[in-house]
Amino acid sequence: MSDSPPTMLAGDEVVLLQRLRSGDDAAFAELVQTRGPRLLVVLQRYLPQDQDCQDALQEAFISAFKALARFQGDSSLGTWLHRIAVNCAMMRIRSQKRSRERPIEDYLPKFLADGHRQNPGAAWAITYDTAVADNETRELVRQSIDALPESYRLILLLRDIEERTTEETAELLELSVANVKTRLHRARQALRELLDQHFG
Amino acid sequence: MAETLDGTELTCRQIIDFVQAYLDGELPPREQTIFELHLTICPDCVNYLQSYQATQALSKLTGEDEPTESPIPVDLIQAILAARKKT
Repeated sequence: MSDSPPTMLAGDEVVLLQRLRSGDDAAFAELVQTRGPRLLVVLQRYLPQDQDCQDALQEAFISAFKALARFQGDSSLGTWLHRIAVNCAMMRIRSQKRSRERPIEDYLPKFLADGHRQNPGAAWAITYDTAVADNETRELVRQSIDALPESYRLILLLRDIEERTTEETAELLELSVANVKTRLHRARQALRELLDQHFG
Repeated sequence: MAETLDGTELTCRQIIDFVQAYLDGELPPREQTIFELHLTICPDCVNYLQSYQATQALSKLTGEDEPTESPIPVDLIQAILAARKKT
């Protein structure tokens, strides 16, 4: 009798997983050809160089192949591969020498001597619903995230977009939990300032 | 005599420093009370808090878009499949 299918996998993923676990060459080719293009886009958000993205993609698939036997199906195959790819990108980033980046203070809100904000601006004229419906708004947010200093951008991506925990983010970036919290707050503040120019 | 708190015990600068801790529910009760009192007298900080929350929501939204695809070079596919054979 075969094991019951893992709960988070779609029917076609269960079949694909069974083929992968049986060592079916065609299944591995199918996995790389169908999942690779999306993973490459994910990696391009983290790694600016094409060669790094391609190397990380290869590392991600090899890690996934090795971990197939341990995959419990507690997420979809796509989500599982996505996490592995981001982890590979982080390992690659950690191993690279970091270039100098613009100080985060340049992006943070400025204050008067009495503690009031300089140029507080108006309430934002944007709602979540309009943002959902508007591709241009989402593209503007994406570009603003990309404009953040690298070390802060990575934390924002991991915490607010990938929804990794603070502890997981700290481990991936080899930072303390307290440092991740502080940097995340600064990253959000900096992004808010960038978006304020458009929405405030 | 019971201590009387008001929203002027923190400056806008301090409020902004504490926004994340407030939203995460990590402020001690006294600081949380002062934070919320400050919001009742400072529309600029209310706007800041709302735009900070909007920033988080908008960031999250960019991750929910259906991902686009970037074609993989054929030789990379072959390299990945060949590397599998070696593992």
